[in-house]
Amino acid sequence: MFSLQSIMLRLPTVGRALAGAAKGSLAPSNTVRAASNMVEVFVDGKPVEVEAGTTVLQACEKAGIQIPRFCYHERLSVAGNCRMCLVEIERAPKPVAACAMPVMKGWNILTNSEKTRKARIVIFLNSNHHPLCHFQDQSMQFGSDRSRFTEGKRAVEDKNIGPLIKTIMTRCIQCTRCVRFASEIAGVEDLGTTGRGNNLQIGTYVEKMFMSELSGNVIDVCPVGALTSKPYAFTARPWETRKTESIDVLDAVGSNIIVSTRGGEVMRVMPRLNEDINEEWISDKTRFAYDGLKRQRLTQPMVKDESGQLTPTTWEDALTRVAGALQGVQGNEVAAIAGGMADAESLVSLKDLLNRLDSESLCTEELFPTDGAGTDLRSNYLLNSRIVGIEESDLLLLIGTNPRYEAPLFNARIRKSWLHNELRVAMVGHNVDLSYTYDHLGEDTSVLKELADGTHPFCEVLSAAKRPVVVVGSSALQRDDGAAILSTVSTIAQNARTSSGVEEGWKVLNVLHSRVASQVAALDLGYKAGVDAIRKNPPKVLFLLGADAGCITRADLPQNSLVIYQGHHGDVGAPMADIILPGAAYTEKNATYVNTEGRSQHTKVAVTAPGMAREDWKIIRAVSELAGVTLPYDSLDEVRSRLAEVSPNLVRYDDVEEANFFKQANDLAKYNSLPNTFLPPLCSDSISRASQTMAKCVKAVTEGAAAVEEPSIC
Amino acid sequence: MAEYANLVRRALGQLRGHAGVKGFLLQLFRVNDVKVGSLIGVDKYGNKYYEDKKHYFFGRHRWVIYTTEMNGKNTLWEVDGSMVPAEWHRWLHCMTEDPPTTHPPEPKKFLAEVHQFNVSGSPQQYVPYPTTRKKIHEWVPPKAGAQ
Repeated sequence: MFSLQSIMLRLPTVGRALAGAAKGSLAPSNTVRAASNMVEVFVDGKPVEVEAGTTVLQACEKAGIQIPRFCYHERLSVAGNCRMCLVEIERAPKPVAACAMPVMKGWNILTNSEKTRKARIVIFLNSNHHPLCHFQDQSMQFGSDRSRFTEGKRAVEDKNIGPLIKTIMTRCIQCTRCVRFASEIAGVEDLGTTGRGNNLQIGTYVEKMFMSELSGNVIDVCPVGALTSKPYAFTARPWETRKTESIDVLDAVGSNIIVSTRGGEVMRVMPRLNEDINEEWISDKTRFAYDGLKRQRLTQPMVKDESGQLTPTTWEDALTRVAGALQGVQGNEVAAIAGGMADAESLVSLKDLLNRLDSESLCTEELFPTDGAGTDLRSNYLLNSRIVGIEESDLLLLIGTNPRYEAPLFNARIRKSWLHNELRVAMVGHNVDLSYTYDHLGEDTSVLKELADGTHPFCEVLSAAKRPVVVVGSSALQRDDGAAILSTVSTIAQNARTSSGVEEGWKVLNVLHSRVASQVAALDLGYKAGVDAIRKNPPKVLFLLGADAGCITRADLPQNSLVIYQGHHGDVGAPMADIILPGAAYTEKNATYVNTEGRSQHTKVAVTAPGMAREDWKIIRAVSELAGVTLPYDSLDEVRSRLAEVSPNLVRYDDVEEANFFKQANDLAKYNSLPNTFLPPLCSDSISRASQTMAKCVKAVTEGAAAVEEPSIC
Repeated sequence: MAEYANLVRRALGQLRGHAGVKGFLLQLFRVNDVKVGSLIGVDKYGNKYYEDKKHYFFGRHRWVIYTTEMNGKNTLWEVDGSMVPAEWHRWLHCMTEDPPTTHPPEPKKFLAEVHQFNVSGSPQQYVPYPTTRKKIHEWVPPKAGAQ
């Protein structure tokens, strides 16, 4: 039963328009400049008004003319070394580099004059171009039709910078985009130029790996085929792939991706532009872990026979067994655990199913302290300032989190802010390398107490900040004193908020969920955080929805309990189970995921689920029908209206619903140091654990780049 | 007159060569050809090989009379060209002048001990299968005893 209204609200534009009226009074900062700042320039005779300080290239883009360039990139600093963007300015003696020269009043920019065309020299020296080569495109468009080349050609050795990036340095045109990316956005100064003139080579000089969790983005940034993706090399051509826009769920940031598929398998994952979350970057795990989607997959329903061996069976058999088990239980005897990649549709259908059986024991694997506000108020478990909000803040306090590995794109945003907007960062926790400098305040929770009390020297800085942001990592909240940490942190946040200078509507407290894409959606839908409820009342039937963190093992359950695992990989949960129902991975279903900011986004089907696997909510719906407690929805739209019924923000896609009510209970407990609770970043979920590319990365990191054997393909 | 005498002589020769009227008629219905020639050899399945260079031109000068039972199949009426084994096939198709009786074949690995005839259309036929690697590798559940 869906209403037109719910569909209308789901359209992002309508939702935003309605919500815009109700939005807080926080003035956006990137806007209205005084009209007197505009400068009038002429592009090929056509007048165009631009702000003072924009470059000639940007002015021409505003006029609609694209000037060819190789080394210029909107998000990187200007280098101006490729000389492809040279344009003639009327009455100027020499052509100017359009990417670097700010406009002056009254200039007439001639983008197609004789002098301009002569200045754009593109010599097509290379022959084997990779299909997305901008160099090839621009040579075809702007280059000369015959060769004037009389000098000798050069060849450059290939550098080994890791198992992810394939380098063919002969193709490099030394635009230095990768060098600028590595130093500005990734924060590792590994790439650089060696030599000069014709002998300029880009590389790491010593045989070093490009050790950054954003290293895959140089593949997108390189305009020629010098840096390409090693796992993707020679597997597909771009014109034979189908591209599907989707969302990444391997961490909690929810970066927007494009899944390229061919013939029913995923060929590669590329980033999609989303200014609010990931700009145009994605982390390495997102980009390269797709080959884990093809290994260790559950493709058939399985049941454990008398000897304890899991044998494949039919859907009828498996579903009737599940339904039979569910019919025999009531109340707390049936429980469910939601794993890290469970989507909102399956979460809501599972909750409905178990609620109809009188059970409230639905848990997530990740703990969240339930004292005080707990998970009742959304503001308590969201990244309230939003990822974009980091750009506007001037002080950031990180507590118990290593954003570099837990949410690499969040870290990239922090670094961007640190670099351009003078963000000051302080950290309480282990002293890790975060690609930017920060004030390390300590490692103990006693530091937190002092900050809350006002006795720490840093408190002055905190109270003087105009827009402070306090981020606590969810892994810090998983400890025994997590509740105390959360309450201390919210005290700190509240003090910072009520102190001088912080404007109304600016949120200070943030929780950064690490690695678990389903946590926010589960908490929104009413799941309990943490499996303590299950440990206290061990159930007879346990439903694992992709739960692979191993929180509950057979030892915690009574002797003849039934464990049902519904998921897509055979990892930790599947061997434990009595009945296995194969579900779909994130590339194989239309699913809704909510990222750590509370932004709801949906994935789309890129490939069909392998073998007999089905979409998760459909399996639960089928179980419910066989068990006699039929759920009231039959199609995806109906499930989504049920989602809207429970929590309307879940269907307002691409929008962040703001949360309020920052209330906290001060409940200080014992203090001890915050241990390093971080899982190795590359193996934190079942897809990455199944991926051979990620295994190569782990090996390369631990043993060095040369230790990874690659089959030699020239 | 002399041609008729020749004709009669040939007919009598053929009757004699096929062991009487009964054999002649069996040959007529089975093979549709009653020519006689010198018996060159018999293979181990019973197929008989004849040659007559004098009366028949190239292409018709060598032939085989198939056996009545081979590899468990009754081949009295259901005769099949692929019943000829490899060494006789060579001689029968005039690839060589030397029959296997005088020049036995060199033993090769690929020469089967018992020659199989063509099984297309029967349940033993070869069906091509893909040899590419699998796109999706399924999860193999652990052995029950190992746990």
